[in-house]
Amino acid sequence: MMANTISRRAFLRAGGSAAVMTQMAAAQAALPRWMPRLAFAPLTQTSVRGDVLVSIFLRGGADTLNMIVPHGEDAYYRARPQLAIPRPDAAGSDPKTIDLDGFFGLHPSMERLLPIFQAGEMSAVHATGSPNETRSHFEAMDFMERGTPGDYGLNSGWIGRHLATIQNANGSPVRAIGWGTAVQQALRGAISPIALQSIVDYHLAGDTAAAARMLESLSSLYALEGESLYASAEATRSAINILAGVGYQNYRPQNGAEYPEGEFAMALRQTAALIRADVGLEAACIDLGGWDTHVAQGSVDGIMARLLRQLSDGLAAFHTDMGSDMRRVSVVIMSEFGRRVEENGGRGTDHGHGGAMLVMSGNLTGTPVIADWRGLERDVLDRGEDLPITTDYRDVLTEMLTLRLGNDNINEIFPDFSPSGVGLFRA
Amino acid sequence: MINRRQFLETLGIGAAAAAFTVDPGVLGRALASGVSAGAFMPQHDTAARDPLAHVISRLTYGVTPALYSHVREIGVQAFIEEQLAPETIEDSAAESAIEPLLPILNENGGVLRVGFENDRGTVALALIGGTIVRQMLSKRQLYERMVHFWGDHFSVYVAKGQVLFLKVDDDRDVTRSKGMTTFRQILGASAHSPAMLLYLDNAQNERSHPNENYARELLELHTLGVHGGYTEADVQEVARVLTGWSVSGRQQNADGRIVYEFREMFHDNGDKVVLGTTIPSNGEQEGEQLLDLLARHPSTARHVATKLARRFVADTPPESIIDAAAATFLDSGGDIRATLRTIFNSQEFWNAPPKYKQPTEYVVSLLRALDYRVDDPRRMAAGLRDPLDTMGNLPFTWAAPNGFPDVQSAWQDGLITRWNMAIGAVYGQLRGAELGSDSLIALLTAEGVDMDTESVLLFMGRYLFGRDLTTTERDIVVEFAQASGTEGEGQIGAGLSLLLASPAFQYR
Repeated sequence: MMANTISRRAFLRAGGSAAVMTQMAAAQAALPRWMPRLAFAPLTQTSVRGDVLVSIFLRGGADTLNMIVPHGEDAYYRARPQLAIPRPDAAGSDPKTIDLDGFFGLHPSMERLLPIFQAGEMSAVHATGSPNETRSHFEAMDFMERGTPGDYGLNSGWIGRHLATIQNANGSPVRAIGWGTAVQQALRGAISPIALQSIVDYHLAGDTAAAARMLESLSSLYALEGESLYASAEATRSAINILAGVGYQNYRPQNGAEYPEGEFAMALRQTAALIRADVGLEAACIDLGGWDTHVAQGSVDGIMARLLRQLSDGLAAFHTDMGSDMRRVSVVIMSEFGRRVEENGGRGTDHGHGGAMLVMSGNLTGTPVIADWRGLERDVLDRGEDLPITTDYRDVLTEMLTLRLGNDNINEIFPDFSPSGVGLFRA
Repeated sequence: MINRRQFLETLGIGAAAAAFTVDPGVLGRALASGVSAGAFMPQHDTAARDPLAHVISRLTYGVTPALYSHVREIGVQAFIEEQLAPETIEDSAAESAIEPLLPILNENGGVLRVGFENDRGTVALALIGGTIVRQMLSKRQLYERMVHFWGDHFSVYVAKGQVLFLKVDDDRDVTRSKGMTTFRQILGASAHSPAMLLYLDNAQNERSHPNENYARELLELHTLGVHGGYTEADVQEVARVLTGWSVSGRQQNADGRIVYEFREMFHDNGDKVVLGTTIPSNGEQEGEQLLDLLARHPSTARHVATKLARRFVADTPPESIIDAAAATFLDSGGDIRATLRTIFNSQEFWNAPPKYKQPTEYVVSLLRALDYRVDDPRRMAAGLRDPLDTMGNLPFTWAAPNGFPDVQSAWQDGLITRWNMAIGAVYGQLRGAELGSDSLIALLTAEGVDMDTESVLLFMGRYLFGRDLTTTERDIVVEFAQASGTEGEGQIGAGLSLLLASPAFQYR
């Protein structure tokens, strides 16, 4: 073999005119041609049989007693002299609970959700949650997302098992998207979910031809690997190709929807765009963090109020954007546990047990708040301090899975669980 | 499509083994202990790896041209002992590289907060830069690994208010100061760390309304572990013990300095009972007694041993190595070096399957393999911040106190960012830093590698992976390289970016 002298520069530089681009420049170069048939058409039903599922997780144990407020409950006001949200009929002009059904109401920061509740397209289920007694964030989140409270036996999550067991022909690599930097546990399973932060940034650097060649060679190398890493690589490759075809930079929300700033709202906006682009999206997970309010939680304003505003305004924009297509979408919002009934000395709340879930869908029975409510006196509280769980969260999810997502394999999705009806979704 | 195991079987595993020079010290010890040479084959679906490469990738953040030569020269045993005594290793290169960051990194967090209240980004970049640069350049690699390990074990989240500023003190005074001493020392340092006391709200833990947050994580995450045998009542008692473990207020010091302070007025006097042991009323000293109790508890030994084994051996470490490490931990009074030595001398360590690199580890290993020099640590940190954040592994940004997960399943997503980092690193696109092509060429020359595309890439494969490329890998890489430009011009760069992005380099 001839020994060539490799100059320092030539050693590593790409040759010829294939100038190496920054990621941003490559993004611009790779802008897809406008594909009007694919992009943003009204939802067609191809192989996604049921509703598109959007699962929103409030990380940190959200104080849902201050979100769906039991304003008819005296014990609530006795337990929270600083933090309780004033009754709907409280004197003065300060923000107060927005009544929903004469007993429960909404935190005032959630005002943009009121019309959706009133239209029967949003409901809350209270005194619900995962029955495992843990008060540890990671355990509680983990169990809730796995769908097997108390049991680490299955490596998958409830949505992962749903997607693995539903008998549809959906082979799309973007069936399941976890918005953010890492895929949520709920999505893990036999299917390959994708962690996505931004639709337009999802491609290899370099000019298109070089990137395509490298992608091919990477695919060959990863094929020599163990199953799960190979699956991850293949999902990445296909997703790159599909997402390039969506044309997100041209997406315009419909019906005058205005999304607020922030990652949470952007995830919802991009979900709307992907639903409309008909790329086979079946399930999306979105996280909203910051709910672990041990100190200075605030009441009608403050830390939690701001989070509730972020949550509500984002959901409201998504609802407006989707318009009549909400009949093909189900959104569920949950948190790993609720918080203690009694406030603590730091003007906050500590870890609790039961709490509320929210559901937004075009197919609800329309009861604003469903709860098997036992009151808040000490003798009914879990450990004498926490809201008990009178409706297992898996009952809520089971109803959604069977009535809206077209999946009856509940025994595989929630093993060792016997579901009961909740009356949340229309049959 | 055949997988790697099938391919190796057609080669004959023995053939793969013969390709490597096994350090006689390691082999000699193995034979003396009755373990066959075959035991050095990882039991994983992969080609056998050179023990020199194995020790480099486990104890350090990855091979560099200099380290490749150094470990060959002194051998595996000497290298392990060298790394276990970081204070004996001269480290001027890394120290001068981070010098621009020292005005921040040496300052008190409270003072920093006064100066940088509206410029958190600068402090964040100093912390990130200081961490990454030292992982890249320090010769005290095992020490940096332990700083990293304890930073995850006693994890704090810098996005929570003042914690960002106080993490500067925590990094210096907790993990760096105590990282290779004893567990009791580092536990004590963490329990006095304003960053920790604020992050987990213990600074506000007072007798009339105890705040359990830190007490719970102290038991669940820092010491006994979630199944270590404590009860909810223990959590509450620990919270009582730790009432008063707080921080000085900003108003107390003219320059804004924040330090640990025991607040008498917050403390819940009276006896407590924790894990069946009575802690008599004794003010601040109750906490020290508590930490003594927790540090020497067998569940703590097991919990810490498990995490060390997970970091250094495998995602699911064999029970036997956990047992051995826990025993050393207990017998030695929580001596970290002794515990590590037990792990590094074990059969399980040498037989360990490849461990998937966390995203930041992967990026650092890229930069080390290409012998990057750092001109401007802050600028470099700024350039790395977004990709590391996208992959969910930006240092100190794990929100929960359990720290970044240390198993493959948590990190298999984000491949596209890894691939793009590999491309960017090869083409010298990192701001504030410069690729070491000189030393790579010098290495190739010293090793007598012919300077044609295939020869160079074959050598780079061995250098990066610690084993020869398989025939299949070679074909794929060389074909790709040859399609990417004319001989020498651009082919090597392309092939190198593919090697760095390939699955084998995702493992250590």
